[in-house]
Amino acid sequence: MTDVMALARERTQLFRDVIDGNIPKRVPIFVSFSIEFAIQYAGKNLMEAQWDTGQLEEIFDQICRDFYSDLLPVNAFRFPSFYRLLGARNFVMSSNGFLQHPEVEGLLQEEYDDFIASPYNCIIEKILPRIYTELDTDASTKALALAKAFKAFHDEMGTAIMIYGRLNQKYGYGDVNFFAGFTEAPFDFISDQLRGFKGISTDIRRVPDKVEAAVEAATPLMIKAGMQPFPSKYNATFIPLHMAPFMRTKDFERFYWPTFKKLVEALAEAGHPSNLFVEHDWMRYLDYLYELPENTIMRFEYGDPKLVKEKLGKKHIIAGFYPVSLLKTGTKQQCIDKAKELLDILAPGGRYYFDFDKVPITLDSVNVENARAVLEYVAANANY
Amino acid sequence: MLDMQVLTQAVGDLDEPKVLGMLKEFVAANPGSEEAAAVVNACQQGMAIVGDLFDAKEYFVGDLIFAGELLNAAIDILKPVIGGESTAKVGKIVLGTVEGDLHDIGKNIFKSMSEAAGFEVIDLGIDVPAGTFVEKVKEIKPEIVGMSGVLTLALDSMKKTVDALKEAGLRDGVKVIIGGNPVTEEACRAIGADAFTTNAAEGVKICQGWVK
Amino acid sequence: MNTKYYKTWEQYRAEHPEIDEKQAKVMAPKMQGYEEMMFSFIMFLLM
Repeated sequence: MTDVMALARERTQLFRDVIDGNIPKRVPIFVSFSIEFAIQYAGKNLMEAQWDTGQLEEIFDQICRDFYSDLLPVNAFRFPSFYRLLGARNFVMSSNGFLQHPEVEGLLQEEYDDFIASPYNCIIEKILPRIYTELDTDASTKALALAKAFKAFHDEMGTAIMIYGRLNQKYGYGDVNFFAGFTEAPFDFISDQLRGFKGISTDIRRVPDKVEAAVEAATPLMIKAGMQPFPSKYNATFIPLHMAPFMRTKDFERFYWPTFKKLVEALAEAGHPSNLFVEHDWMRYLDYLYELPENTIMRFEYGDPKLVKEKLGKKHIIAGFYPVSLLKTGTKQQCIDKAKELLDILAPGGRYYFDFDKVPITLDSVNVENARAVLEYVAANANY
Repeated sequence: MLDMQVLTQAVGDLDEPKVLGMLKEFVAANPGSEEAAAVVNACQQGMAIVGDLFDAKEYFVGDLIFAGELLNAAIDILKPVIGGESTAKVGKIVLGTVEGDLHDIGKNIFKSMSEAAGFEVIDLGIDVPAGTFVEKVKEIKPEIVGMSGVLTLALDSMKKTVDALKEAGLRDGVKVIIGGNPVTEEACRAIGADAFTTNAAEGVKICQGWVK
Repeated sequence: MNTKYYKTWEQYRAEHPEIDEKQAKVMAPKMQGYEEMMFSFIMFLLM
């Protein structure tokens, strides 16, 4: 067995231990960097590299080479080609090469009943044409636009997956995948691109019954979207959470939680664990999170790591909390001290892997030296 | 005559049917403009309750946004009975996402919330060049200029905009607040803004402090 | 799913009785596979 294969096996074991509830040899590390960060780090042109995706192998390779992680530290899945082919309003590349996400309203308030009657019909007939201008054309033009975009999507994903496979082999990353599927909480799905932040905040007061029914109606679709091709306890479906911290607990209880819980439970029942990005501050909702199926992966952004460890640490898998902002402003020592502090709180008893509180989006959002130092510190010192 | 305290409380409770019901009844009775001004005042006091409940973590950002919508709906009903001046705004804000940045979710939240607090907001949209800010400031003469952005590159555009305001001799006539993910105290100083925030509610408070 | 835009293989088969057992066996995974791919793509466009 080559050294790289032995390394991959060891790293796989670290994560399997975490998932199996055993104490691993060391706290595993899984951080990721955005595609923009990677391109800037490699000194390449943002727009060119996101269109000419063949360049990404060399670009991602530099991240793998320079930043310690036990799993592949890059994971890009939004590419400008298919959004452009569809005339997207929701993901638009600006002249400086950032794929940006302006607020859109794919569903009008008076269309709730259509959505409730058949969410998928409503998506195809009303929502997609409103968000994707090339689908708001005559039937033939629409068909061709969708065909081009679908082809582009699978070409880009195919290229990316090949690159990921080669980097996994080259660097001996562990063989578990926390992004093996992708879905959203039903309420987030309705909020983000269908009604928008303002729309949904108004709807839960003005047409609460419709919101509730729409969220219910969306749930089977979100479950289906989150299914992976094969069940495995070591591969998870990624669910980035969004709206809950901006709602009253009472509204959360009615509109957010029931269908979100149903989603995670249905996925778990089908053999797919969920990997939640617990965005913003969820400290009000820890007792709810506790209720989710055992071994749900929860990567936290803000909040009190002690409280989270105490309430969730024996049942679920915890990560996150390390403030990326400190990597920008702190000294190297301060950054390492912060890692120590978090390890002391979160590592005991296992069920923890090291990650930042969010993905560094641009190169200048961190001091690269600090990021490297922290990762190396954890890799060298976080032994059990 | 409607009970001002009940109205204030209903606004504070964000009880829209109750608030709008009371106001419709009030308007139907053809009140004088002095009475109408008292009702507007009662609504604004209700907004203060909303603000307090937000500080107390009983309300959250979504509720503040709805509060803005509720106030708009209330003013729409009251329009026929309030004279032009009695809708007096607490101040004007020229707002936009700066050049090179297309993000508007945070900007929109800030807009809703500052409207709820009684500001008139002139929203220039996204990807707004410095020149457009300058023109609008000349035209509208706001007390405040708000610039938003998510990308770190937005900081450069913010600086350009402030510099352009200086060049046009307009900088001293306005307060400048910047908001969004990348803003920091350090960035605020380098840009030459008066305040920065990553929290829309806090941003509104800062603006309120300026127009007091 | 109550939609005309997504069909399971069983639904498709019911609409096409001319497909015999032998054909069905090789067709099913492919037809269903592309149906799923399109569903995933459509949902991805809204996430």
